[in-house]
Amino acid sequence: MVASGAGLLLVALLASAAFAVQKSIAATSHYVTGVNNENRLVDYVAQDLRRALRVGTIASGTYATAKNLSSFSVNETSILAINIPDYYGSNTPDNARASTFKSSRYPRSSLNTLAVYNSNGVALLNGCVPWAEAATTVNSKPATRFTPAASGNGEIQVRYFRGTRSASDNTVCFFRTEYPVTSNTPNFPKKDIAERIADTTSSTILLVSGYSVGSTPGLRYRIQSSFTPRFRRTNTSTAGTEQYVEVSLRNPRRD
Amino acid sequence: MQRPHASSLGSVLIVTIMTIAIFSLVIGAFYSALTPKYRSIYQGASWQESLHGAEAGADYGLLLLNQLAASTRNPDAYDWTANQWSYSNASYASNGERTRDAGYLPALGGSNNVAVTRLAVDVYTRDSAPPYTPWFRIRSTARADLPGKYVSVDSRDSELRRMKLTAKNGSFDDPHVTRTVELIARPKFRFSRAITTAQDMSLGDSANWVVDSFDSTDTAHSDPGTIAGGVYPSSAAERLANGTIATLKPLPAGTTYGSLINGNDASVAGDVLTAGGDDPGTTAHENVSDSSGMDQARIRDDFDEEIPPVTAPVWGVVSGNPPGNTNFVTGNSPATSTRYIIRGNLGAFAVTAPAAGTTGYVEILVNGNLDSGNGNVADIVIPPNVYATIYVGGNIDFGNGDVNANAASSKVASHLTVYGVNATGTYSASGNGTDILAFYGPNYDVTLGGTTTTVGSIVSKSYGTSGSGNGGFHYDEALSRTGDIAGWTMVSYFDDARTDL
Repeated sequence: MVASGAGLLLVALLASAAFAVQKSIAATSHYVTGVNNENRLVDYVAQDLRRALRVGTIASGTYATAKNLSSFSVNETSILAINIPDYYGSNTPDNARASTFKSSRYPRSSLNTLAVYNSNGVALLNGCVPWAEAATTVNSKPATRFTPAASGNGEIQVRYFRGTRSASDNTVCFFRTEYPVTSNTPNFPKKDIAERIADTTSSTILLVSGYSVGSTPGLRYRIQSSFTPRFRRTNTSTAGTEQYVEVSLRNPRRD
Repeated sequence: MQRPHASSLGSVLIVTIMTIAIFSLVIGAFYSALTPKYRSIYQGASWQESLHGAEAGADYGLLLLNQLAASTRNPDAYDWTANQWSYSNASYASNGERTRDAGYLPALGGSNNVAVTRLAVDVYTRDSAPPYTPWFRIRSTARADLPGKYVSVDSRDSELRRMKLTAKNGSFDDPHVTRTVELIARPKFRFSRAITTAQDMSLGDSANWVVDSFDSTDTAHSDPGTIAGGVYPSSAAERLANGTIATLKPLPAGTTYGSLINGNDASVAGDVLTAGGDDPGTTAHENVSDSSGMDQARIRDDFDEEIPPVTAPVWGVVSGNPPGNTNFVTGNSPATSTRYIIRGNLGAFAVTAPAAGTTGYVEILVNGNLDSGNGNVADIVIPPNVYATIYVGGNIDFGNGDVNANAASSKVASHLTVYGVNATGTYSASGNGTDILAFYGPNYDVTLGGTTTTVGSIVSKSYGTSGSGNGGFHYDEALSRTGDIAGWTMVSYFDDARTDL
């Protein structure tokens, strides 16, 4: 009798322990997913800011240059817009090896062999990008054009925003999408870079702040991604985790 | 008959083993569920480190280009092969790609063995006008080890970081991540601003004293001059506003903000640059005093550029000096320029014009002072079809004479370049003289009278204007596109995130 009671008590203890551990695993798993989301968000934005030519925001459809920013929160109506060089041969996705989507507009192999780059009467000017196509002046300073003048201003616009994945999928995600600078039609469909950023157990936010370097505004940005888990019995928030990355723009700004 | 006690002891053992087994399963499940998620954090760290490696490689490439620039002024004469570069395809030697030899690539180390795996330089473009100065493209790829060959739980991580998880090195697993950075480097011409100093800078002390710019190669922004080019325009509408001034002068120890340029309320149509000194928390510009004549939006404090001194050239063969050390004759190309060494001081002088339709080149090394004196005979004459380069080992005094500015001269700054090559020296001028030249002397203190006009560019240790006057400084923007290449500077950056690995 005593032995049976003790055995039942032990089984009950083991069952409750297993349940608690399983709950802990789920919570920890969710927490790590949230931290990974934070990492990925700041890494994406930092990569684009590092190579940015212009940085701005789009609020209610209106673009505004953003230099010194104070904690701009990316959401459904406040979009972070980063113009980067229109560097690749094509912006239409093509996963084939060495496709123009994945190659520089001016790969060395093309410069060496294509007639368009090798028909100049001055031998020294063959095998490189024609000057008028390669160089320009921005704010009175020499600059790389990135594309022929006829192909636009040599920039594409990367937009970061938050929203649901689709009309039939209400999962809230952060998205990164590339646009031609003169169009609101993206080069390819929006792509989520972090999901489950706002559910019953947690929320993730993306904040961007801009700073001066010396007296020059908008040369450095701080990207903050915060993840607030809610794992208490009452489902209330605990203190969130916060990740910061500070990025200096490598290119001279064009705005 | 009594039962042996052994059977109850066996039950305890079984229960203990079961308990241990259950806890082992729980712990195993815990780690198998969470380890892949934590793995992505390590993968992210390696991805960041490989970027640091790629950027370090690109910086190294720029450094090597600058070392080549120190060896010769002609970028097409860089000795790539002797400096551990090899052609990717020797058929394309002029503009083709050179890669840094593997044994000379930087290995940065660390726990993830960050290393540059490829560093390539090719000619991206060339100026369409002679001498077809190139812009170089530097591509640097670096790698960092990954903690293992297993994927993380989120495919989005793989899409961003593009890891090579199944890579092999021989028969060994070699999971790693790579990043590639591309820089375009343009030439940094020695005379890319109106006035550049390493130390003090003090401008003329009235609004009548002006720094601005024009372009001797652009008829819309110059008045007709000589066959060498146009002169500073008389019409204000034709003048340009790129008379940039800059100083590297440091602040006194223990000081964060303060004046580094004394503007003296002179008019400056151009950027005003210092290395620090401006408090971003105020709207005023603490880095420049008496700045009422400047565009406040063009005052910055992020100037950071080396101005290394130059030394006297060493020549094997030189020509005999002409009588009276004047009427120097020229060679017919930069490579065959006529060279003279003056073993003492040199006064006012002239260069003899070569035959019409030809261009002459002359280089003169003055071991003593260059002192042109004062009065009507104090001029230095550089004809319009001559390029003259003067190296001065002593002090320079142009008195009140005209330098490359009288009727027989080119009146274009790119035709007279003067280097101050002593460890210390002075450069002075006074009166109403006009001096049209490009001067480079990072060890020289420059003092000009307030009524003296300088057209061209000056790089010096210090720059000061004595007294008031309506002189000034007119930068010739043609100098920013031609002439001596002091080094290379990044003009664009791109983190190539799509190219096949």
